[in-house]
Amino acid sequence: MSLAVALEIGTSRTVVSVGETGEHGRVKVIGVGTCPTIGVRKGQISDLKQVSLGIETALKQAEKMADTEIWQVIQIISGNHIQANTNSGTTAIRSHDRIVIREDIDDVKEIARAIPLEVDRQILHTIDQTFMLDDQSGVVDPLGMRCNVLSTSVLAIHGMKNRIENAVTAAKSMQLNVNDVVFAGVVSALSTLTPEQKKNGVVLLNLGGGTTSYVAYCNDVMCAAGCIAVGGDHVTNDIALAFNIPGNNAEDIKRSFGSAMLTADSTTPRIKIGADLGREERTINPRALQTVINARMDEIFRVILSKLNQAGILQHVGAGVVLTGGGAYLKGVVDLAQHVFRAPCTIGLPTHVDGLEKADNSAALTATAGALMYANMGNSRRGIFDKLITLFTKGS
Amino acid sequence: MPTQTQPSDILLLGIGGGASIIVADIVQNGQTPLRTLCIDTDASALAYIAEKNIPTLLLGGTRLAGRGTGGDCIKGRMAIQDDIETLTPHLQGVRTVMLLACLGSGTGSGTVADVVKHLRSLGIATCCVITLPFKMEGASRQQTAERTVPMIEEYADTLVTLPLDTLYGSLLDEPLAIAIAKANTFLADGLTLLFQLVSRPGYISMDSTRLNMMIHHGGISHFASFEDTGHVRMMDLALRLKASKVLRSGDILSKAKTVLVGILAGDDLRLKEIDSIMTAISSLCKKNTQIELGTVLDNTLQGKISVVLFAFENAMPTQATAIIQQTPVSEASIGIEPPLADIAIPATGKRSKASSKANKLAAVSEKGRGRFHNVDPTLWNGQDLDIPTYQRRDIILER
Repeated sequence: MSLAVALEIGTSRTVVSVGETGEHGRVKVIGVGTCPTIGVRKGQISDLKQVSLGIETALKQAEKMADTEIWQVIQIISGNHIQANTNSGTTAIRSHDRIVIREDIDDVKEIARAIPLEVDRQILHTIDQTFMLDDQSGVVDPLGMRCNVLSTSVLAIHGMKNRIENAVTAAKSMQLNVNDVVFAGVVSALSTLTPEQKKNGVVLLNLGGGTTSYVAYCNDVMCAAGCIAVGGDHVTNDIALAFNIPGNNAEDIKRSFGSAMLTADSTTPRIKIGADLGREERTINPRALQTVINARMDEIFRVILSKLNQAGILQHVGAGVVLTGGGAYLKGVVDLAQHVFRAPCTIGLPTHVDGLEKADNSAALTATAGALMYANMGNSRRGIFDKLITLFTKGS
Repeated sequence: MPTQTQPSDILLLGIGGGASIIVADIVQNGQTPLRTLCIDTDASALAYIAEKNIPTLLLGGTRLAGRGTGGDCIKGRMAIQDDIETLTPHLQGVRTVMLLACLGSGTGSGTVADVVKHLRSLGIATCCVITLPFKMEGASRQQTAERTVPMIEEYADTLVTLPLDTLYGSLLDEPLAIAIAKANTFLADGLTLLFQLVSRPGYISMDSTRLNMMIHHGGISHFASFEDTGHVRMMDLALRLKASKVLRSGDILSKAKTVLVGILAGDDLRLKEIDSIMTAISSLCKKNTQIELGTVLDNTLQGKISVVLFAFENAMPTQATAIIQQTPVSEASIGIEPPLADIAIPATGKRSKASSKANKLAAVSEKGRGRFHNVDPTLWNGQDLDIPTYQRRDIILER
């Protein structure tokens, strides 16, 4: 029975999850520790000391709950700097009978994975796409098939080296070894999406506090990924500015009364904001609140819609859109996403791991649950999630 | 010397079946030379309107074959996107469009936002009068309508929203046919009064340029009309204003920055009556509310007095500023239709709203970022996404 630990330093909260592999190879979460994050804005660390304190608190909670000592973690990362692009490779078949052999496949993969990147960028994941045999595209396994030329492409997800290292430094400051760094969108998809959804084509949106990550699957292959540095914090900030109230009040109002859809009318009672230091009790119009939230969430979805459209993916998304992350619990957000993407939308839960059935807002734990699954996969089983380089191993 | 009839620079545009019927009612009132156009995806409904000699335009003919949208607003949106350019020839010489639509249906909800956006790109001031469906029509139609409103709000200069539940509030005991007729009459009469106000000479004038400017700056607006006959007329207007559901018992007036009051009556209109009307209205408004008055005398209205009210949430600029901000189509103003190409030039469509938007952006970019004031901006298509979306989209919040 092996243990794995996932660490996510989110903009809103820091989460540490401990998982163990059960009898049938399923991961069971046995400990979760959370702490509100201070010192992270839009996914980027701005105060290392405060972040370290948050990690320490979450870590202690998780250790106590799991009754174990944590010394190594898989770290989840997000942020505007995360990008993805595809790179293709082609090779001529070496045998006279033009039958594809294992060496041909390895060769073409190696060529595709030689991704030209700027020196300050670090690859997080390389994901194999389907093969092309001469002009026949969409081949999943070309072994034993005949062709003259074999081509493939790879989706590379990469980020800024310094920003990744800053996140790792925060973990290391708590005497943690970082075994691997993974992108939040990729691991959320692991814990949430079903094989059927991936086959039919699906988009997963991880609505975080400071960022919104997305991954898209077409024909069972992850074909696009990315992140925008806009999230639930922006909604809170918009509310604070619109009604001239402090951020913590705005957050409370968002959670209690907020809706991404415009449902309030003149008969809906006004929302009371209690008296505070230097401020009298007052009320705000629920319709105005919903307008502020609707405008922001609509924009987030439309930015992602535009990115997916640019990548030519949207027409292949038959299984719709799956929303995860804390933002998925905002009232009306599913309806709004449905309206913007014109596809069925659901909230994605970490159904592929055990132990979170009774957790509140478990959609907010999909990334850490997925990271535990990722850690549980042997290198051979990671399949499409091959890592090119693992820099942050024990003792580095 | 040949004479030329000056065509109106105000177009009454009905979108969808319900709105087209109201437009037909307004035309049937028959007292105002109106420029009208009804657009719809349903050919049979349009044929009924065309029989009344009202210009019509079928949308989505190739896509929907004139069969309508069946309540699907996506079909409506696709139809208008197919045929938006066919609207342009009908807009020659137009400076102001009064747009009427009933949301909740496929054509009404699907097309209005695109039409308003198109009008804005041509520099035409738009006043959208839209009705929201009854609650009893079901959540789906309500949602469709409510999703559409913010899109219209984004591009319309003035938006008047009339929930049918409010409009029919006092007609619940009436038979359905009578209730519908009365509600249509309310809308038709109110808009007819407005058109008469700008198209007929009066002692206290309200010309189309002034109306155009008010619509340019209106924002969210509310609309009501009242009528009275007899020897003692409009003496109870204050009470009627307070009882008006569409004016939310007078609350709308107390929050309005500008109120346009149109009084239409016969030769028997007395100064005392005007004074009584204005006193009643100003008693519900704030001290600094701008109240604009226009009167029209019409012999056919002998014994009758009608009052139309537009309450705007925005204050109007001074005349001097307004003249600079106007976007006159010079040929149109002297009655010669300009070439189509001239109308379509976006440069003529610089809007006060758009420029104020730019100013606002410039103003908020310094302080509108809140907690993101000292972090790298998140840029998308040249916009700083850290600035609240409602500010960048110039959405005015109902306070």
